[in-house]
Amino acid sequence: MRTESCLLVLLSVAAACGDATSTPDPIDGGAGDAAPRQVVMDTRTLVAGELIEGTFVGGPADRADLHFTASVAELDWNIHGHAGGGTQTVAEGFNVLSADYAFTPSAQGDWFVLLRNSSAAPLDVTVRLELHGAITWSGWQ
Amino acid sequence: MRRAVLAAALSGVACTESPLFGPPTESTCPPVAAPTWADFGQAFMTRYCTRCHATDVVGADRHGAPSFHDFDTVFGVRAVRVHIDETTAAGPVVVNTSMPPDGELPTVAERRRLGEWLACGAP
Repeated sequence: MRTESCLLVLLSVAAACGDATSTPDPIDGGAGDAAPRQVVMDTRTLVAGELIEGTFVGGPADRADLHFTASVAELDWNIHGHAGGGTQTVAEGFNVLSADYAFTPSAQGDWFVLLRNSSAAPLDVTVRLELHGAITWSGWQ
Repeated sequence: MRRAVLAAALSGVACTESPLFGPPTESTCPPVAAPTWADFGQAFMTRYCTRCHATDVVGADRHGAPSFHDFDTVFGVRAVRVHIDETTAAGPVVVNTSMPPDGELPTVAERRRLGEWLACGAP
């Protein structure tokens, strides 16, 4: 019995030491499953055909988890950058009710999110952005 | 050796190709007679932009125009007006001419009017 107790104590200490000395994941800079540094919530009503663009500033060590929810399946969305003077489309979707995307910038710089109402009626869109690392959100233009 | 020099010269030419985005024109919205979509923007976009940048132009016909960058509606312009300023407009600081890349080109006066319209928020 005493031996088992000692073993448990030793295991507990070892586990505790392991937690204390663990190093951050080099791929995501420790931001992988950690709580977001900032959560941005926004609700927009887009009139028929309206398009809005917002801007992230961040780099490969950062991540933004994007969650879009629309009132009907008429939401178009796009993430792109303009590094080097061109346009790099990261991801996009068309005529969706909702979308979830974990965005890690491939290079440090400005990255753009576009939302479009592809219907002929107003569309309510809820946006939730979870910012990890140093990425920042500059809001809609 | 000559080939190496030629290759180096050509790569230098490629690297100095004009960038797509110039600086912001620093245009300002005129206090009177400010341009609008109805009296300026739509005609400008139709004449110089929408042969590639339009929602009903798809695939190779877009000639590389990225998706969501469609200027057949005022919303499409408004959403990316900063970048249109940096590619196409003229103002006190600069005349940006990387767009349109070919075909009929706007005059500098038209580019200045474009800069003013965008500075107004593309109403």
